[in-house]
Amino acid sequence: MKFLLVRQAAIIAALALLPAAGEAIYFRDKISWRSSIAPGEMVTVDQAGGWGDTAIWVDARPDDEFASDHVPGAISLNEDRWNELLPQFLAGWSPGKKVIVYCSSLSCNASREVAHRLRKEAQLSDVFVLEGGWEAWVKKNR
Amino acid sequence: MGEEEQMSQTPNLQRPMLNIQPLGGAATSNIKHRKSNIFWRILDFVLAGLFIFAGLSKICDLDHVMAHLQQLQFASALGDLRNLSLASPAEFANGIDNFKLLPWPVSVALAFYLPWLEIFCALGLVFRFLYRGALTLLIMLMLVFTLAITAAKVRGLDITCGCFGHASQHWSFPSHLATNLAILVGLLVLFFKATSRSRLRTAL
Amino acid sequence: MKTSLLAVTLSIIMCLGARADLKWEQTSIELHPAANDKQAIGHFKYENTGKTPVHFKSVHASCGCTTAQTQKDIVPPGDKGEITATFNIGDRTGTQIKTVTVETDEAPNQKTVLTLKAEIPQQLEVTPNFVFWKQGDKPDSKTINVKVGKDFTVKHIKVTSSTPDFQTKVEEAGSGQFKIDVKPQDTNKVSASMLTIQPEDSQKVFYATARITNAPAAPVAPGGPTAPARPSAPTGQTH
Repeated sequence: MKFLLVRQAAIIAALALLPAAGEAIYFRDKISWRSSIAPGEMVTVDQAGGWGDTAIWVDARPDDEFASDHVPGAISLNEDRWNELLPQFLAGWSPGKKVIVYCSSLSCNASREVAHRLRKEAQLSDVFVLEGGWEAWVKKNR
Repeated sequence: MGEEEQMSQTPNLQRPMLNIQPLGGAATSNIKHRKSNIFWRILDFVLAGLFIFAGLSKICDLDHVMAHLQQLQFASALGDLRNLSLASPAEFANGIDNFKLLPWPVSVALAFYLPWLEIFCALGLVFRFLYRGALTLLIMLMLVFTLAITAAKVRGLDITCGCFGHASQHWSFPSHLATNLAILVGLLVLFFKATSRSRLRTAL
Repeated sequence: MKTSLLAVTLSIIMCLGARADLKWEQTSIELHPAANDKQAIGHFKYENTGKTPVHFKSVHASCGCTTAQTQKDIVPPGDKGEITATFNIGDRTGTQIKTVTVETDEAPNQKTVLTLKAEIPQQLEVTPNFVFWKQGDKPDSKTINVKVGKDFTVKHIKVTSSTPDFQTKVEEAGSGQFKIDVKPQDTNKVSASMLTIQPEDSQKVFYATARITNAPAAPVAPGGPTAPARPSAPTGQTH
């Protein structure tokens, strides 16, 4: 009887694999199997640098960090003063621009949260998070 | 001949003779038998329904449907069902990853697989197809889920169970545990009923 | 068999976790600040149940928006205390999860992650809060959806545009939802407007932005007498 149980369980387990595989293929671009950040959402400093004028840089760090130093031309947009800063950012945005959001380093969350809000609330496309953040940018450019 | 061999090899089995009902009570015992059958089928359906809901809530975005149902707005809920969209698998994958028990790629694979496994097992319960295999899988799943949430609680991890999608995200640990144990008991009861019935059948 | 292997592994993990001398009343606190609160504060209480004093090596939060303070640096045996985590809400919305990592000198190097989960109630959810037309596009109306938060009741909302270049019309969509139709007068020139959305009987105001942007390819001189404040730093973009 044990063999019957195993056989039945194995058949169900195998059947369930089919729609699961289908779903995995359907969502292959929406989820990264390597890291917990979706593909196509992160860019490296090099990639971002290559976009030149088509990019808008967004600094998601607190006001004092932005004031002390930031990527030249970057616009400050953080969650502390989101309502005040968002219209200013939108004034500088135009369709076709790529938005690059950064915070202090690889481990900070602010850039991901700001990017998420830009995508969800303002429904902007082409919003990216800078891998390694300000730390990585400074390493490459200073 | 073969039957007699089997019967002698299974020591705890009653001989079929003992199950013959007394002549007078044939009608009432049939009704009792049907009533208990209905009871088991209801249990099948209740548990299957739970697992179908659990599986679906991870595959589709059921937030709006649930909100409308909670406000007793059935018409709006039906409308929502027509406009169902697929949920992002990343959410459930993140939920599994938060338990910090498995590497990320495994979390992603499980995020795709587990909901369908739940649904197929539930369908097995409903249609009595591969019934005992379905019960076995569900019991194993429940054991693993219960151990996982207990381990997370002990390690002080703040997790959203994700067991029932957004519906369970505000549950406390005791209610999670109680629900899981209740489901597990229901499944075990069905399992032993099914396996004892089959032992009887193989003896006949 | 796989379940029992998992069970064994988990019980080992559980036992390892139980060696700490500093016992926390809870390592995860859920807060429900009111809509107008500026901060959400969590008190993480601990007790030194060991025989030696425990020294806090570091206490640091996952973001700049959260500060954590210990009452004391060294906790003698038997002593109790708490770490106060203050989360500055700012303009954040929805479910916010912030952590404070506490490192002590317990052996092995003990790191405890304290989690503060705050549900920030939002009276109105405005999606999208930005609608735009490219210069030359057809001036069709675009819809902004306004959803009332589940803990609030709003019967009417008032929408005003900061410039006459955009017209707005509010429609009640039922079950706590509104639709705002925004229509530009024309899309010939670059312009922008701040849409102010105010729930009836409420001082709180919400915003959306409507803009006519210049078409991506052709560089156009900065224009529009009603353009809102532009960042003073050169952005390197052609307008």
